[in-house]
Amino acid sequence: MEPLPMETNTVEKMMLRRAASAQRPINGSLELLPLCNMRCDMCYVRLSRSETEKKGGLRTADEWIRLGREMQIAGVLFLLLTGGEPLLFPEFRRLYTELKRMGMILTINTNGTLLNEEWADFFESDRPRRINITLYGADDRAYEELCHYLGGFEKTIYGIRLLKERGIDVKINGSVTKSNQNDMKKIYDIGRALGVPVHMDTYMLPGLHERSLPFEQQSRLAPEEAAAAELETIRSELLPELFQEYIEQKLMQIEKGAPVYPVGITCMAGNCSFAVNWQGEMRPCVTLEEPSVPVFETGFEAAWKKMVKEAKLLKGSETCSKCSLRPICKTCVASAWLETGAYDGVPEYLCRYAREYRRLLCEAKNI
Amino acid sequence: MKTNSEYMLREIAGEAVLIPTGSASQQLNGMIRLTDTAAFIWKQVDTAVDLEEIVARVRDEFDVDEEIARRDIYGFLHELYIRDIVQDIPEMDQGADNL
Repeated sequence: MEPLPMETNTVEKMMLRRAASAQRPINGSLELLPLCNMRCDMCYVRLSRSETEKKGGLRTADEWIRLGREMQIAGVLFLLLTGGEPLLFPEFRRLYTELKRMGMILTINTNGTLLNEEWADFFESDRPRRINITLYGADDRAYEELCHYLGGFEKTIYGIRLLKERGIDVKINGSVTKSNQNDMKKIYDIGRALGVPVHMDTYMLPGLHERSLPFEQQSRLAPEEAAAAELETIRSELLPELFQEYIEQKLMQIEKGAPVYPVGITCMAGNCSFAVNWQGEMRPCVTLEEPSVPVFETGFEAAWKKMVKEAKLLKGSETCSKCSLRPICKTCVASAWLETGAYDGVPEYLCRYAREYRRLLCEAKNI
Repeated sequence: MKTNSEYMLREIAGEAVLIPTGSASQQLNGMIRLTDTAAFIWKQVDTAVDLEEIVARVRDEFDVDEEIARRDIYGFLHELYIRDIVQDIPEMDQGADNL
């Protein structure tokens, strides 16, 4: 069977695999700042200027550039610049240009509302690999309710158009929540109209202030609704014949009986990938808060080695690693920790999600 | 003869890749993967006097027949030359058909 688009074997993936097997850093995410011009309800990063100052303030562009040189020597190739809103980072353009000159392949996560002719010309003159723009809804009402930012939708669409006119690769990302669930189809339609690929995340980690609430009272979808939304996103993102193939492959993976999954970290995090937050703490990924090494003080290479070593100590659930639904389950040590408070916890939300997803796959196969 | 300074050769995870920077990224968004031989040829461009010197250096480094080396080096550099990834190669200015 031909590999599906999400399972294709590219040079990039081969390089990632090789780096992981050598335990070398090739991919990183730099969270430049916690500041943002929007105030989204579900955000777990945003701080005000005064809160940021109280926590030590931002690192300077020069500090990030110095770190860039260390990353270049260590072999880092792919960097995601994120925040907060990265375009608000002081001297963003200088930092961006310097990182590009070092031979880094840059992707940017932005809300898109600050993009204007000047920004678009800047990115046209030295293109990023891609600009990921988060779309929070399909109209200004959604932006006002969820992000408390009047006019945000129109500004974002304007920004996407400016980039597309200049031939810059853009992708729309979104997260499905209870408040924008009904906008999903419209968001895909907007993407099609603009000629921009869309990806909607249906699994959201529990919000910072909602972890003790029952699922019904959290802003994310109930697990069964999220599973249904995921299958809908796959249906929207794949051609019909590939969608059927996807269903068959997934059911086959479950039927075959998954091999026992490792109990440690199973993704790139801490194997060939890292995240540095705005305070300069290097971690395996944006979700995990430990191991955490102060990279500006420790130096990149030493911080990487320490983080990798300590990340190996994180162990997930033995029950999950042997579960027949593991091939379609989204659990990992990071999500288990946020869902249950323990790396080896069995997250009820994800068990319900995976059970429903299997049921929906079976249903879709029989249609 | 020189490499376009907006392309950077990096060796990452055992792979040699050319990364476009600045205005070169308008032409190519991504990277070019080079074989070991191609990476060796790239490294010679800025210091060799002409293409024949590159042929000689490649033959010193790799066990390869002179004609095959010449054909492959001219072919590879021609592909880069027409994309402005390598520049100022007099032999190429005379037209690729003569190569």
